[in-house]
Amino acid sequence: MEKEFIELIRRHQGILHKICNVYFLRDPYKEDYYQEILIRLWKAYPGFKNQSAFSTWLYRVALNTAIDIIRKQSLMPSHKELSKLEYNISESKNTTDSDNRDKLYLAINQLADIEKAIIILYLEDYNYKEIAEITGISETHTGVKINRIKTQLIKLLNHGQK
Amino acid sequence: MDKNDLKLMWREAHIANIDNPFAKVSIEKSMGLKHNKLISGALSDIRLKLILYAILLVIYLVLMIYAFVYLRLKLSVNALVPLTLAGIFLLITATSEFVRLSILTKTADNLSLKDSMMSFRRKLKRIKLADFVFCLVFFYLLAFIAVFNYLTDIGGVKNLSGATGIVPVYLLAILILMLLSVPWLIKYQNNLRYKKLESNLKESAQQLNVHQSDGGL
Repeated sequence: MEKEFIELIRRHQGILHKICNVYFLRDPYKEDYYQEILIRLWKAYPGFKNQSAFSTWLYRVALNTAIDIIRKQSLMPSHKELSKLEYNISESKNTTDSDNRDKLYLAINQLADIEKAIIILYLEDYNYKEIAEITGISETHTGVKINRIKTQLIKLLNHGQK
Repeated sequence: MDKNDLKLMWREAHIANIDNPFAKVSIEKSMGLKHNKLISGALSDIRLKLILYAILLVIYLVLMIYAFVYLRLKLSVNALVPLTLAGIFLLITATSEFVRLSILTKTADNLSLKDSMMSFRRKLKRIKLADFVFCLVFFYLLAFIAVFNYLTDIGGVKNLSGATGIVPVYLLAILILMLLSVPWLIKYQNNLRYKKLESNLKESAQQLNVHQSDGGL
């Protein structure tokens, strides 16, 4: 089971990188949180029953963990919150791939925790049914929500402010 | 920019083969851990505090039982008040650390985001309620014992207005009022402490379209 898990994680490592970038973009503890997601994935792995694709399960557990970490940060003794205002996205001037990526991540970073989860799933080409399955909201509501988040994201990318 | 450009932008942003930013983190090593170093350290700090307060509380209780039950010691109010306050402080700090640890270790990762949030919210509510009920029972019982002992000492309710009391009635009233208000003060303090967590949960509930009828609220 261990080898199988390691192999699956290696194959889907990109998903974890994206989730960490979306939730902990400029957090100095990003690496630690990445490791915490790995640990929680391994703990939850016996509960994966092949009823859905591995990537769907991976998204569900990793997103839950990332949101859980953020949620509980205020109760941690070494809590150090980074101001969201630090992320001023209108400062980017170059238009290289890397800058575009940063710009996009910075914009997504300004969304609410649940909105981040929904938009990352949408951008990763998951359909409404799958997004609804991972998030727990209805398919109809998923569609409405995605449209709203997209509008918000476009505004953020164009103007840099929420 | 058009709405449909977002997916294209996302795809283009991830075309380039970027180095693994987490290359230092070993999957194999992580699998053997309970938590990462940062969270482990934070939880250990809380555990250490909890153990320390629990040990002090046990020592305190043993000493109190030894003094009042075994030696049948009779102390003046001046000596009893600081002793009681010390016990109350130890009890409150130990339980609040226990509650914090319980909240931090509760997870439900295998569920959907909505179910996980609702499950956590239910657990948080249960932990807070249990803490409040425990304090309520403990301090109200303590108040009852104080009144009962006082009345026994002065020889019944009929002597309440007289000057036969070892402790003046107003002092007893202040003490009882203090004891009765402690659970509510703890509840208020907990609401302040978990304010950020609660507001995050509230925001998530709104985003996930959770209604009262869905439960967990």
